[in-house]
Amino acid sequence: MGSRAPRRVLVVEDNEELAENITEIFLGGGYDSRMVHSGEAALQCMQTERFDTMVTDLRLPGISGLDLIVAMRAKGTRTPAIVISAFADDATVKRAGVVGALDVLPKPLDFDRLFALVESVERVELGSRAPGSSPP
Amino acid sequence: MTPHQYASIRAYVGFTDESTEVLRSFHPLVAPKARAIIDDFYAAIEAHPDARAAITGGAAQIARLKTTLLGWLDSLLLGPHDLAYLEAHSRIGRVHVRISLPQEFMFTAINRIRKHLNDIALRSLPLGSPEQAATKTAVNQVLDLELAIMLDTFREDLVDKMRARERLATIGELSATIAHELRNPLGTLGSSLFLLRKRLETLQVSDPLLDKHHARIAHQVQECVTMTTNLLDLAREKPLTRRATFVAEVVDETMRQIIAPQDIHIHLNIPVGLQLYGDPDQLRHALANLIRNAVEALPGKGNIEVSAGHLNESIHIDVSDDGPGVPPELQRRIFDLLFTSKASGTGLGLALARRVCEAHGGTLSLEPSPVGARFRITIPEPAADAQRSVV
Repeated sequence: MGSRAPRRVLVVEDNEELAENITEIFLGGGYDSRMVHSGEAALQCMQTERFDTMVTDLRLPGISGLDLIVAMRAKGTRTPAIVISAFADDATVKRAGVVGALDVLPKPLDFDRLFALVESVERVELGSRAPGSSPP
Repeated sequence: MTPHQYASIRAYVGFTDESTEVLRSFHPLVAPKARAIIDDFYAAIEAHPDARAAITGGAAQIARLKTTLLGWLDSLLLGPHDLAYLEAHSRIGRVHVRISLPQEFMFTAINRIRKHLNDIALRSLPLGSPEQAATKTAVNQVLDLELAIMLDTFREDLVDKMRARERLATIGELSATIAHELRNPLGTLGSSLFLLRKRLETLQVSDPLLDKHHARIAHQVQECVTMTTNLLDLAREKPLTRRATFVAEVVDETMRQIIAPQDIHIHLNIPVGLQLYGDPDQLRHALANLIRNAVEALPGKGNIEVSAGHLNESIHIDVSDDGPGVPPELQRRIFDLLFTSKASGTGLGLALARRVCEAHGGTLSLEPSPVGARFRITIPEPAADAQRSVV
């Protein structure tokens, strides 16, 4: 049971300026946030660091945001993932649900909605198990 | 029809300058009976519900059309059957296209005229004379020519529509790609604005000019987002997710997206508890387009009313304003894709809104209104809709 260290959010977005903005907004909202610009970089990053939530773009230069979630789950990382997309058709939204994404948010982002979503993850986790406990 | 095609058709039916001479000398025999021929012609139209449906202007229009037809009959017999004739008669054909006259009526109409003219030739000219034979031949030739001209206007119209559709498909793909690509820069702009606003709040800076321009950029970004959303929705024909929804909820949610000048008053008149069965997201989108149009139609001030209720077996939502209204000559075209009468319009909003309504099995129409414009969405109620899908 640690004290309330800031929740950590990993931002995966290839548009660097947008990635920076999202990261900055999370930092401003009291989160600890880190950004990477590809799915591959995200996977690498998650090998050494732990995140409470991941926010990933759908279309990325290498593997897609959805493939990233699949790869990450395969490695046993259960970090809740939120997909953001310039344009998600219904098939994509459905597939996002199948791979276990929390939600798909359209770009430009509604930050109130994004925060609400990240906070809902937090509430669910706090309610279901002690923070920092290992996944079952 | 090109001059070359016209010459070719003339040759095919065997029409020559001599035919014109024969028809000219036949004209004085027809003239006294012209009125009776035309009356019979329109009696046949009025007796047929589908043919009558193409004529929407009632008795006044029929009176006008009869005069036109008299002129047509004169010109048919007097000629000269030259390129000016081709152009004048093609214009008549284009009117038929415009009023969506089913082509089969053209055949029966021409045949009716053919019968009358042949009867006159039979009765008024010496039986078995070369003159009678030549007249009957010329009458048949000129009417065949006429049919060819008329049919060609339908063909032209189809070709035009097909080209327009191809062009639209290309434009559609291209614009969807551009719209998609614009989302990232718009996302960056939007998030930067968010950060700026937070920063201003933190610094407790309050400056009217800063606020004004911040709001202005935010508004324009929102406009661009709406435009890209419209384009993308148009490109992908989103399937409906229908559920029972309170109309008031749809309207209230829509109103949150609407930014209107202070002097434009939007009155909501939605019966409590009124429900419809539809896709609330897409309906909101359609409704927002209508309300935004109304705001833009008003000269900075005025009234907009959003009302709803039951109508036959449908729920209707009306958006009316007391602005200048839609000019009659534009009324037919405002729902066309890429048609716009606004300086900064894209011609997407109404086309998209109509598509949403039609996907629901409903309609979007411009309703007659004593002042301003009244747009009406109708969405069939579940019972009626279910019955329809069973049939």
